[in-house]
Amino acid sequence: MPSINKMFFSMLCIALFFSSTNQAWPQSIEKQTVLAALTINIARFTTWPELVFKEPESTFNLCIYGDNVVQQSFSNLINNKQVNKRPIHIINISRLRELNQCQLIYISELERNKLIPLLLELKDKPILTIGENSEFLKAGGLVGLENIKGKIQLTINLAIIKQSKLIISSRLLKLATIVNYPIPNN
Amino acid sequence: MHIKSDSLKVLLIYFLSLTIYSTNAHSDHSELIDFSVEDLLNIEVTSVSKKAKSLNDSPAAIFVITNDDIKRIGATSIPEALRLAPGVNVARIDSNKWAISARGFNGRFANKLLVLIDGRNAYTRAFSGVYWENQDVMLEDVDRIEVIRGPGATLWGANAVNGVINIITKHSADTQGGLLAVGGGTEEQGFGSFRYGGTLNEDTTARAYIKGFKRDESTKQSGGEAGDDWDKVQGGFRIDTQLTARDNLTIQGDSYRSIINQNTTLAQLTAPFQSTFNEKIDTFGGNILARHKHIFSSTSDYSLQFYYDFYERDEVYMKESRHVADLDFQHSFAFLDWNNIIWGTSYRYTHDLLRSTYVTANPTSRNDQLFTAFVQDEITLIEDLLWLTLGSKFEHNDFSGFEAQPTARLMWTPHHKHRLWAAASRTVRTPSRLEHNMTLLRSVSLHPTPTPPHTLVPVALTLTANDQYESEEVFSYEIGYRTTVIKNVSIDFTAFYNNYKNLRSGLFGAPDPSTLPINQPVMPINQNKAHSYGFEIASVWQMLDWWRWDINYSFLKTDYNSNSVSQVLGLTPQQQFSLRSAMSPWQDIDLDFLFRYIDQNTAVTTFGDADIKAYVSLDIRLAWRPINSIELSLVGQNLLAENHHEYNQELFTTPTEIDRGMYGKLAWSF
Repeated sequence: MPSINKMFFSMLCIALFFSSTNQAWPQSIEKQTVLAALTINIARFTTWPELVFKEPESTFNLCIYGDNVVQQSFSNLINNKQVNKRPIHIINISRLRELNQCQLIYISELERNKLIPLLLELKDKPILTIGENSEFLKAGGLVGLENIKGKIQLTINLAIIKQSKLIISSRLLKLATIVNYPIPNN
Repeated sequence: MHIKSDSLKVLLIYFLSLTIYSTNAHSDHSELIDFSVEDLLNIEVTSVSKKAKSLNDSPAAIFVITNDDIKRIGATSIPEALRLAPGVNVARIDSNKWAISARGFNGRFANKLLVLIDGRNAYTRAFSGVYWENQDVMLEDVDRIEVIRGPGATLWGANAVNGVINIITKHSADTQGGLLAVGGGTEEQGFGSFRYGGTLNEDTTARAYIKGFKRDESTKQSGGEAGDDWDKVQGGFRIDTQLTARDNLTIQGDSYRSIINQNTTLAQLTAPFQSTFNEKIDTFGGNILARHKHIFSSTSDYSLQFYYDFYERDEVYMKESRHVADLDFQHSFAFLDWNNIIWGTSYRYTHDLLRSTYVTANPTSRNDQLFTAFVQDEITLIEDLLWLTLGSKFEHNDFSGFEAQPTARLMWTPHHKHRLWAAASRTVRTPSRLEHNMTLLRSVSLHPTPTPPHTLVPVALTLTANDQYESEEVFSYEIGYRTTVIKNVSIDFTAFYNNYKNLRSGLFGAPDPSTLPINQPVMPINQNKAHSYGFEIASVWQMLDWWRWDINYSFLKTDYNSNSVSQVLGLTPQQQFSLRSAMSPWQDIDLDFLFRYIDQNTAVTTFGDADIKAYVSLDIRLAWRPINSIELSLVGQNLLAENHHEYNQELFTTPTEIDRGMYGKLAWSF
């Protein structure tokens, strides 16, 4: 099929041409990388009750529910970084088990009918939950990082933060949109 | 047969181009962690390359077709959307019939691919297969189509021998508001769909839709119009309600009516031994489904699902009605922190009625029951690294009795950028009503008598029922590797070996010379064996933020035990290649194309074996959104030839070629 080869070659040439001259699109950074950096920064503005860390040298356990792209965005960032003077330890909770070891749970995407019961389980615990959309906050999540027209908007559900015994710095609250969604009924 | 050197070249260029591109390494932006929150909130973000970077975590050959993929390729039917999946052979037989299969044995009456629409089985016991022309959904409301190549019986049940297709529509909360789409063109003569979604109360959302289309006839292979145009009207609804924080209920249903024209050829006992005529098939059907899901905790939930489905078809050779009621329960839970167990049980009741003078069924009506149970355990061998999944389906059906379909799967994730898996499974294809209970005159041809003077006498080949026909069986072995080691590229590779036993073959009975034509009965028996092997590659390359390529290639080799290909085994092209480009040079413009190469094939039919030449095809779509809520698109399908031949039905219908087509579409959401 020589005609196929010819077609393929010409398409490839066009492709390579464009790939070498790409400056037309504005410089932007991948969403997951920014979300991971924001998550760690938000953790730095948050204070956990001391008793959640069993020992002085306990790590800060950052749990992730997400695919390889999400996992990688965190592991690329954290080398030797700290939160609350503790080294960050990343745990992938792909099966949503053993959640009590987490200080922070980042949930990338979870179908809505699983999200509400999961957040109900966590409601009184000192675990900072961070998700990617407004549905997440309505379902009982603490912090939402939503991509609105190419920029991340930070939203904090203050009603639930108060129950969680976490303290979020006022500096961070000033940058956020504050909402007060109640915990959904059991 | 060797892989053609041309195809090898194509593969080489493809890998070379990936390597060239991969040398353009980008920074991973690890400095971002030291930015302030203010700065991070002001950064322009993009998420376009997600598809080129994410790797599926299933230990199976799974490919996902998204809502956006369906729209951007201009697909107007489920089969057209399935052309995007690697290793799936979608052959359009005529305007209203398709042959669809994965990993071989394709045909209009292909029987080794299971199809589910929102958990409802679309596979019919009548001939063990799927009437594709009867299956439709509001394509704009599809969330995704999961295409699983290879066995899937442990979770989904019998007949998922070579693959499972799971069509999943959106939650009604995600289809709020109105959508009106209208269009028309040369082959897609006219179509329209309307959906409206609303909120019934604080916890309940709903939608309803109606759609319809009229499709033009294709071209007879011998020239002239094929007389196979058709039209269809379908409507449906879905309601989702959150009963409590832990309970939700979905109720949905659809109904359709379609008028299908076809050019039918039936064998007859008097000269010229066959007759050809145009017929109009009236077919209609509907379903209703309810699913309750209760969530105990993040690791434990159960679902209870009930559906009722019926259809009726009125063809000259067969008037069929079929009613199915199905009740299904599934429960999943975590056990000892290293097991995720899912088990379930189901019951299905089927009532059918088959009336025809051409294909005679005995009995004409049957009530059948199917009991199933399954258990599957995903065992974490090494936390976050290695998982072993063991499971089996057990079922009892009224055709072949008890069946067990076990699987073992291993998933290894050594690194973010690498996934490896392996699987071994046993699956069965259970007997059809046709094989067990139906008799039909296949063909009448002239043969010389065995003794001199060797005069030509007509012999009638009659396919007879065999209620001892058993399940066909396959042992499948698969390995897979997924990687994103090259920047902005993901590659998914799967290789498989299938060993089939008890496949269908024909047993010739004693001819009855007392009548003329001489009656020669042929009975289906489980005497054929085959093995097949091959590999599939699916890759995505996000070349630029606004330009993505999807490149798929599959190779398949099937070796039959017998020298002559049996009359009843379908075939599949050895090689398939597809190249898709999705480009959005401006935010309101999309320009997409899908190029496909399909290797030569042979259709085994009652009219003799038909060679199907290798073909290439090109679909192009241009879309423009003058404002956010309106999209205008122009689609060209099968552009490279005025018409081309994809496949023949095994019996009854005239070979046709698929025409080039163009259509325009306006979509308005409000």
